[in-house]
Amino acid sequence: MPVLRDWQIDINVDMILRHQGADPVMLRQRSPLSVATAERALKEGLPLLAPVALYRRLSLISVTHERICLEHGGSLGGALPARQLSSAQEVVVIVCTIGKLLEQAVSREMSLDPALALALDSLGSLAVHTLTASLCTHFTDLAAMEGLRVSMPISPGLAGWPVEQGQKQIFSLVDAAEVGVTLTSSFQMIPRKSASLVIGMGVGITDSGRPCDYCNLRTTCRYQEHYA
Amino acid sequence: MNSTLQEIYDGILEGDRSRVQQKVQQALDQKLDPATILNDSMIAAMTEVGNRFEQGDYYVPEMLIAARAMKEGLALLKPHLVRAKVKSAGKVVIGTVKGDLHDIGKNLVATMLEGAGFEIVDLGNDVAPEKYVEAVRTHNADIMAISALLTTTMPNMRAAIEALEQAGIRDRVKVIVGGAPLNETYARQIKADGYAPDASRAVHLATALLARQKPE
Repeated sequence: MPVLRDWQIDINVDMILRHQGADPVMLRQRSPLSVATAERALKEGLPLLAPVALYRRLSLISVTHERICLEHGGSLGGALPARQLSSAQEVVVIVCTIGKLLEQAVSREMSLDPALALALDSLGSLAVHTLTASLCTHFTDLAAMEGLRVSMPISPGLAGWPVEQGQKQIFSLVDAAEVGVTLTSSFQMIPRKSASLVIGMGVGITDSGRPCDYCNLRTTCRYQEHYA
Repeated sequence: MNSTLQEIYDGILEGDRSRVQQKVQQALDQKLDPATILNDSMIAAMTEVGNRFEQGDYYVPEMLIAARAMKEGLALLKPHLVRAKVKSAGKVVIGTVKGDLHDIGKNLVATMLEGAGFEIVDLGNDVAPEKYVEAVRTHNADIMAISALLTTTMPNMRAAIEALEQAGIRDRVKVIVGGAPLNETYARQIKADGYAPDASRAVHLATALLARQKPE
């Protein structure tokens, strides 16, 4: 299966501070030590990132009640895949990760310097988000070259696609071990800073919202603006 | 407040760990009572940090650099607390449930509880119900703190509480729960003693639960 490497991950200190819920301008005035911790996390954490993605393009064969049937006998079931992908001609199934070195650094630092550990963890979360955003851009551009449109990216855990259902389906369609990602018995991905997503491609796809609209934490989540 | 104690207090609020280490040593050199150093300056400072966070006047990074400074000051003070037989605010067994490998939130709660004077027994992540029970028994814990971040692992919180019941020790320990997919309603359904949405409120909850059960 195709593996995409050499991703540029552009993250700055203000992004780390915002990810931790802080106003960077206020924090720079009030707590230079907090900013210094984020700067150290960026300096020490960036070299630990190893972003990589594996994907598989599969043609859509048929759509039945809440089930998308794919070529080679694969399928994606659930209310959300049915709603978002039924007008697609094909789907792109993706698993990506930034690797395990950063989370190992987080574990090491937690008992010594929890402030640094959390800043490193924020860097990791931002890196995965940046990687998935770059992947969406990559496939949007690819689709455009082929005269196709793309759907909103969907991931297991969004409303209408339970984690235990979606992860099982995705991991049966791609060999994620090729990029070092495995699934635990409770459907958590290892390394933890990994993501799985599916994008539909087709001429008949219309824009249908953003992932946050399908997230069960949308009423309380303070990251929506960040993920928009 | 004694000026050295004030400097420790201010140092923790500002997250200035070198200042806190220096002033804790100075306080010890001045033969100040270790319990006074702990309670009047260090825990008092962390309480103020928690209050500021809850009021929106401190952000998480500020809370954590304060906790870091507290931790480094506490490392100097601990041998003196042990010698003086100073009791902790309570003993907490904490872990992320079976099947769940998330630990950042759990670690933040442990850090803040330690900053509030609690003794922490950290079981790590992927903790089976029987391991919680064993730890509560072995360490004579006052509080069992359970974390879960996946909807697929939340049921293991109920399993951990039921394991305490089956072992006949449920009434010996207060159970608090937390994690992004949780809420107060779920905590009540699984018969936990309390739910905290963040690390600062976990400290308030733990303190309040133990205060309620102290004899008059």
